[in-house]
Amino acid sequence: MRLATVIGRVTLSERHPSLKGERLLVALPWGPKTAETGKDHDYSIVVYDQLGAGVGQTIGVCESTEATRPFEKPTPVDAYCAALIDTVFFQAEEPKRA
Amino acid sequence: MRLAIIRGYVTSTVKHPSFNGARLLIAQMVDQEDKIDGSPQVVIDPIGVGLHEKVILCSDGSWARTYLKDPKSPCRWWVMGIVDEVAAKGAVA
Repeated sequence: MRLATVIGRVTLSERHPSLKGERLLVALPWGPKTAETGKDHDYSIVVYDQLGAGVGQTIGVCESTEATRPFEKPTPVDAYCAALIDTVFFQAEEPKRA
Repeated sequence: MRLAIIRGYVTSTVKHPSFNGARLLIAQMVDQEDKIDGSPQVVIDPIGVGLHEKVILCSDGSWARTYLKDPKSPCRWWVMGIVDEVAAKGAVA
């Protein structure tokens, strides 16, 4: 699961028949420095969402084949919003001991 | 499997039900010399590691689903072990 910030939505007019009532988000996955700086995100991805994440929210995105596991039928998904993140604690370096 | 250092944790109320009760840690991927090598991942922790500990991550989603007792879990990365020492190119990092 990678952390990502939601920046928008996508809607489809034509879709693969296995997708019905889907909710798709555009999200920027966090890079190595994003937790500290709030910048330097990775390239944007489209994420399938069943939890109802809003724009600006931090989410946990499960990627690759595991993204399809929550679905009953085979569904072509490679990024799945698995968690709405409440708090993030991050320390880039171990604090020096006195 | 990949080397990583635990750099934090996250909390989440609304999540896939398979993650209920799981510890969610932020693991920063590193190379053999502890340099940053890839985006951080949120991982589950079946063994109980501490902050800033160097670990090995495994991306076996099948075992993660067994551990979480949910065949529908989207979980992929989990902490497999705590690293004592890394020796690469004839040197101990």
